[in-house]
Order: sequence, then structure tokens, then C-alpha cells
Amino acid sequence: MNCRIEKLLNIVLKENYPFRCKDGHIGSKLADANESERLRIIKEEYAKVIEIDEVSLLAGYYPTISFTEFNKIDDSSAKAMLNEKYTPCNTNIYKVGGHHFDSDFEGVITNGFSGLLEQIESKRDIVTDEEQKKFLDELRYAAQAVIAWTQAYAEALRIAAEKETSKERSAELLQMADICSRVPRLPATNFREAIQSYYFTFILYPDGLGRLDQYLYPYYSADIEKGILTKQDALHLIEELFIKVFASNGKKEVRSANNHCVVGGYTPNGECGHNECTSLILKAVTELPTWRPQVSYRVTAKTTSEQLSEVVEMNYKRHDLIMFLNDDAIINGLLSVGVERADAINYSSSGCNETVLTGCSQMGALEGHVNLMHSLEKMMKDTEKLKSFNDFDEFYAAYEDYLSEDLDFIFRFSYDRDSVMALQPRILQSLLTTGCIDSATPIMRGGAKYNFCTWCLTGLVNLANSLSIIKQTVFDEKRFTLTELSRFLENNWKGYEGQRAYIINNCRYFGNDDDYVDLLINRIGVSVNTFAKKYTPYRGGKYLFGTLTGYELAHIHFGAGSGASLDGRYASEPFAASIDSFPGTNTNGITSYLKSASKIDEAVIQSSVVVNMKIDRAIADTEEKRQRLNEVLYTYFRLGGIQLQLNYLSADELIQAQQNPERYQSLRVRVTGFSGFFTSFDKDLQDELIQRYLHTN
Amino acid sequence: MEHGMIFDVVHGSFVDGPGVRTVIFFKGCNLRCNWCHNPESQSFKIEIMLYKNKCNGCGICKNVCPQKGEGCNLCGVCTQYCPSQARKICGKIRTVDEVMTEIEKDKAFYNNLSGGVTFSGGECMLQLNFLKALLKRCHEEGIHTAVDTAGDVAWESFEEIIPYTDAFLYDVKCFTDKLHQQGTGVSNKKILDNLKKLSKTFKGDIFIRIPIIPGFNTDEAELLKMATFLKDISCKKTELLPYHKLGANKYAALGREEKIYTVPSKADMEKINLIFNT
Repeated sequence: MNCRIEKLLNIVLKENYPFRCKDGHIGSKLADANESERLRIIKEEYAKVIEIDEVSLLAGYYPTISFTEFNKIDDSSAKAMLNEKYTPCNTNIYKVGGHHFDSDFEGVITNGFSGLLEQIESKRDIVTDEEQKKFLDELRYAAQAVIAWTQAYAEALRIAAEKETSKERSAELLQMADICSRVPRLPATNFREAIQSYYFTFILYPDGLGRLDQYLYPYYSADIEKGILTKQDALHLIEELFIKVFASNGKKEVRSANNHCVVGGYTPNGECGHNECTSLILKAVTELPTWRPQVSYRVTAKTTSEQLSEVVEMNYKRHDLIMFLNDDAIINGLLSVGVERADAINYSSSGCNETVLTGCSQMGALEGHVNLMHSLEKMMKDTEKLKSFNDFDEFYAAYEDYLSEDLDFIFRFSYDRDSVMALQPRILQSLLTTGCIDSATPIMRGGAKYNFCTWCLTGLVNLANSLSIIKQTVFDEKRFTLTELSRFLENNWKGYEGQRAYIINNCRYFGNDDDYVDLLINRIGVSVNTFAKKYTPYRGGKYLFGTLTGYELAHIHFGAGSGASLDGRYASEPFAASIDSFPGTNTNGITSYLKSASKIDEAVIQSSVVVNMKIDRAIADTEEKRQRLNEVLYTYFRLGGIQLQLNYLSADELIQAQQNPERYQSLRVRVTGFSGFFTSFDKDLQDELIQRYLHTN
Repeated sequence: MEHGMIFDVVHGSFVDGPGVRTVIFFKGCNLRCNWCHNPESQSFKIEIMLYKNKCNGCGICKNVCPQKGEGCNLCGVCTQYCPSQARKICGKIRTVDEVMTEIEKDKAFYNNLSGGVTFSGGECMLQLNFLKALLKRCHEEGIHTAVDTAGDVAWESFEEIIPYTDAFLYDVKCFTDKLHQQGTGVSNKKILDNLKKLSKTFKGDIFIRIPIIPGFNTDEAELLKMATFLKDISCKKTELLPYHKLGANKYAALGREEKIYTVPSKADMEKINLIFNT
């Protein structure tokens, strides 16, 4: 790490939001000005408030006023409007999320905002609809405003260079001024311009980072060849970029998901895109002490074992920030819902793990969470109906009616919500999304090239387990009747501890490579998708489904409001996070769990699947062991596993396991040359391991 | 069909032979090592284990018992209904097909690093026909096989399985016979003889595994004797397995007394490792 990076780190880690413009007064000036005046005001007023620090090579601070004025109402007021309408029946069926978004960085870097202006002009010439004309005029003004704003940087940097006493810094400032005078207005011509153009674009909508390695690599390799860039310089610029990305939310935000970057993955011609910029990005994330952006590495069928091994090594150092995605599975999922291959290849993971089509979509990436268990809970209370089923299929068909009732409620809510959200024009977001100019329609009204609306299914594993238990104990073994099961739940298992134990000790749970239960996940998924096909979201396109629990912690929220469930869960305990196995039931080891996870069909779960493996650091504490881990991951992806994150255990979790051993039956821990189940250890040994974790983390 | 007594199956092990492995634990052993961390692997019979520290005294086990709590016939119903998982049944008769189903689950993970299946125990070579049938089936399906043995069986038993075995994990506890008898209850003559023969005739890999038990085999002279003996053995790797107390509450669960040793320090292990791996 060089001293420039250290100084920048000092700034961001000392205070929050250090790279913000003091531009509060500009908004009011703009409001009073007529149209011809506005661009001049932006350029001049920004030039006055821009602070040039001593070390940055990337110009740009977060504007706080003038760019948000492009949004007419904010999300919270939309939510309030809807809550008013839905609160009375918003029991425990849904919870709203938020949309993450990745701008069309590639378009800006290669065509510049001048390119966007040309597109706007030519469209403006042919539209006749007044509404559309007005929208295109707003887009034009926004593009011009961005240019004026970045030109203000060029101006401020030039002035700063003149005043600068250090010759070296003065030269740097002049070079920055030169870069800012060209990009993002014009196409980038080298690495420095590309990364500056990218950063300005990021500031406009500081969310997802898209496929950064793919954007930078053409400029990187050309500059390296010409001898005008070194690998080290490129690394430092990427590090500076990441520090500033981190600063967009500051250190008070302790979570990692606000900014998500994807690397690797297929190139447009179907090759593996792991390049030198991929390695630099991974290195930067690994070396910086910050915790954003997080990076998903896209594994392809052409990714070599060595490339994967490089990422496993980085992941071992920063398992909190580096994750894995499987291109073939995700791209297949996107193709199955009608996305063109070229666009599917350009997907990103945004926010936590939401799949988005980079720069050309409004995926409704996390429209909200559905509590799938609500429908089964309701059915199990309908004791009269429970008496009449001859086999599991009959039972399942009846269950689908309860499910469709809940989903109907969800889809009607979803449509209404999006119609309220559409009141926001979101001009900048529209400007940075392919399709909106062409359709002359704002992004929130379906202007993007691709429109979807993604809901996440909470309780999916609990539901599959519950159905598996019904199938086994009621229809296969004829051990319990549905009425008896209903009574267990009604009493929150009180007085039925033996029956609960029978279920936990003998029934077939997700995560043990057992088709009996694993395939129920897909069966439920097919039911959900089949039903969803009857509905069209407000913006058009289709409803898609993921399994994320998100920042909203939907599994805890829904669990808290739900009664006991047949998998042995007590009332108000959380549901499974994404596709985690039920605590204590994944007793067959890492390969079995991954095989279960790999069976999930991407055509029914098209968005996020989160496979959060908790493994002992000691399983991977030598390179030789990580080679074996690498082998396991390689196979998992070849089998079609969609996503993977490795979570090395924390002392905290071990302490929890010690206090609630029944919930941690499957936790395997290595002790020197052996591994065993943590809960079967003596307290002394448990204490020792906890100590070990306290030391390693 | 051949069948045998199995007490555990572990999927995705990184420590029992090369690559990613499935480990099949056979029940029954002819050694009684004082430090054994799997005491439930020693008897050839099904056993009910009771972890008293987990038992909450609910009495459900008695209520569900088909024998009304008198004269246990090892049916295991009490373990099925135990809410605190204090009761565990250990040991199950499995057919070759059943075990193969477990092994095949991991087949996709074996890949390039010669991963495969490891038959362990107890002493898997004491259920020879069952073991041989499994090894044969694995080879028919192209699965790498390893046999984890203490070696105290007739040499003919090795000859039976060698054609279907790709690697042996061979335990050596100590060199001095008298010491061996004290620690394990049996002489090590056959064990060392078998290892010498194996070293000469076996074309696959031999991994020597030495448990390091302070107070038993950590005397320097003893370690040197072992190292000298092993110099003539052609093995792929010598692995040292430090003593640990993983099995402690298993002894209690079986109603047995455990002999306690001290856990070797990291420094001790490094020192001992120099004797074997330089």
C-alpha cells in the first residue's frame, strides 16, 4: 500500500462521508433560475465549492442537492402511500425490499455523455407525444448538467494546479484537469480516463459497480502495451476508487452489501473473462481494511482450476467480501425468462445478491419478501379440510390453493406499489439505463430494455422440510395424522416433545443430498412460477423469484410473527435464511449440503440463491487443504450450484453452539488432525476451540 | 448380498487419504488402544449410547420403549424419540448396495486429486468379505479406494484385498512389542511384519499414520526406533496424529472408563515431526 492510499484511508476511516460536496446552496439557485441559466449555474457554483484534497488522483465528490432534484418523490413517501392502503391486511405475508441497480457504465465509458446526448437528440426529433418529448428534454438537461458538473471539476483542478507549490502535485492536478475536461463527456481513450469516467458515473447513482474488470481491461492492456501504465499504478487507482466507493456510505454503515462488484465471468465471445484487472480488483479488496465493495467472482465452465484457486486464496483472506457465482446456471436462468444471450452474459449481482442485467434493466431486484410459510400455517389450521386426503399429491394440490391465495395478494400489492413508485421519474437512473431513451419512457414506468419484478421467497426450506415431513409421517409411514400434526403446531409442541424429537431425529430434511426433500424446493418453485405467469407486473415483463433475506432480515421478521412449524421450529423462531438447512439437520457434511443446493433449478429461482457455508477455518488453513476445498467448489459449480459463500466460523457462533447445542448438531470442527461434531465435545474442549476462534478472528 | 456393521459415514473429508473422500467407518476392532477416540468402534455389536449431560430426564424413552424399559433388545426406538438427543444408537447392518449409494453421492467430488472412498473403523479388515465386495464394486466404478487399518490381521487378508485397493492408511503405534501390548492389548509383531510385506509387494500408496500419545510412545528412544523401522518402508507420507480428548464423553456415554493422557503441545509435535519427516 503506498502512502497516497494510506492517506486516503485515514480520511475515510476517521470521519464519515468525507468526499461530499458542500453544495447545499446550489439547489435553491437552480430552482430560481430559468432553463438557459441552469447549466451555467451548475458549472460556476460547483467550481466554487469543490475542495481539492492533497492526494486524490480520481476527481469527484458526492453531490448532495442538485442531482437528487431529478427525483420528484422518494421511496419512503411511496412506501407511506402504500402502507396506508395495505396496512390493515399486511399481517405476515410480505415485507417490502428495495431496488438495487447497476448503471450502464460500459456505455458511458465507451460513448461518453455526448454519445447519450446524440441518442436523445435523434429520438427527440421523431417523437410526437408531448409527455415523451418532455421526458427526453429532461434527460437532455440531466446529461448536460452532468457534463457541466464534471467540467466544473476540470476548472477547479486547473486553478488548484496553478496555486499548488509542489511541482509534482501541480502536474498531477493538471493531468486530472485534463482528464476531467474530456470524460465522462467523451469516450475514454486510456485507463485513467476510463476509471475517472466510471467514478463520475458511480457518483450519480452510488450503488452497484457492474463488471468493473471487464470495463477496465481493454484500456489497461492497451496502456500496458504502450508503456504508459504500470500494474502498480493501476492497482493504486483501483484502491483509490474502492476507498471512495466505501466513503459513499461511510464507516457507520457496517454492512457490506451497498456496493457490489462482479468480476470474471464470460466475455461476449464466450471465453472466461478472468483477466489481470480481475486479479487487481481481488487484490485491492483483500488488501484494503475497508468493507465495501463486496465482490462476486463469476465462475464459468472455462474457468481453470488455477484461476479458481487464486480466488479461493483471496476468499480465505476476506471471506466476508468475496463470493462465488456460477455463470452457466445464472445465465441459463436469465435465458429461460427471455433475456438475449448478450445481455444475460452481462448480468451483475447487486446489493446483497440480487441478479440484475447491467445497465439495461429494472429488475425490481428486491421488490419484497413473501412469507411462504404463511400459506401452510393457514392450511394446517383448517382442521376440517385436513381429514380428506388419500395421498401426498392430493394434499399438495390443496396446499397450492392456499399458496395462490397469498400470492394473489402479493401480486396485487406489487402492482399497486410499482404504480406509486412510477410517480418518480428518476431521470438520472433512466439516463443510465439502456432502453429508456429508445422507448422515451422513464425507468420506473417500464422504459428499460428489460423489466422484471423480483420477489424473494422466505421460508422455502422450512416449507420443503414441512412438506417432506407430512409426506413421510402421514402418507408413507402413517405414523401421524394431519389432525395430529395440526395439534402439535397449535400447542407449539408443548406436550408433544417426543413427537417433535421423532421428526427431527428421523425425518428427511433439506441439505443431506436426499431427492425426497431436495426436489420439493423445485416443486414449490414451479407452483409459484406457474401461478405468477397469470400476472403481469406494472412495468411489464415477468415476476422472478429469489431466496434472499436481505438487510430486511425477512426470515427473522416473518418467523417472529409465525406459529410453530412442522420441521420442529417453535413459534416465533426465525425461518431459514435463504436456503440454509434447518439448524442441526445438515448432518451429512459439506459435499452433501452442496449437492442439495446444486439441485435448485435456476429456471424457477432465477434471482438470488444464497448458499452460506459455515466452515471451520482449520479446514482450509493450509494451501494443500484449500486445494481440496477448491476441488469441492469446482465440482459444486459443475453440478449447477448457483452461488456460494464460505463463512469461516466465529467464536460468537461457537459460544451460541455451546449454549444451544440442539441447534448446532451439524457443526463440524477440526481438532488438530481430526474433525468432529462440536456439540459432542466436552465443555473443556469446546472452551478451547472458542478460545482458538477468539484468537484467529 | 454381502452386508456388514457400519457405525458412521462421513461425506467430504479432507483428512483421511488423498483428495476429497467419503469415509465408511466399520464397527468392531481387535485392538483396545487406551487412547482410542472412537470407543464405540470397538465392539462388533450395536450399542446404545447415553450422553447423561444432555439428558433432561423427561422419561419419554421409557414411555415409548416396546420392552417397557426391561431387557433392552437394542431396537433403538428410545433414540428416535429422545428430545435432547442424549440417546444415540451406534451401529447398523448395511448391505453393499446401501453403502455404495452413500459413496456414489460424493463421486462427482473425487476429481483430479485422487479423491475417493476410505474404509476405516474399527478395523475394517475384520469384515473381510464385506470389505472386499465394496472394494471390488468401487473399482468397477472407477472409484479410488483406501483402506485404513491397524494391520493386526492375517497376511492372507491383505492378499485378498490388494488387487482392489489403491492406498493403505497404515497405523503404527510404537515399535517395542511390550509397550504395544500395554497400550493396545495386542502384540505388534504381525502388524510390523505385514507392513514390511506390504511395502515390498503393494504397488499403490502407503500412508503411515502414527498417533502421538505423550507418556506412551513419545520417549525419544522409542520414536527413534520407530523412525528407523520406517526408513525401510516405502511410504508416500508419514502423518502424525496428536492425541486429543475428542472421545472423552463417548466413553461416559458407553458407561466406560477412559484413560487420560496429556495433549501434546504444538512445539512437541514440531519436534517429533523432525524425527519422521526429514
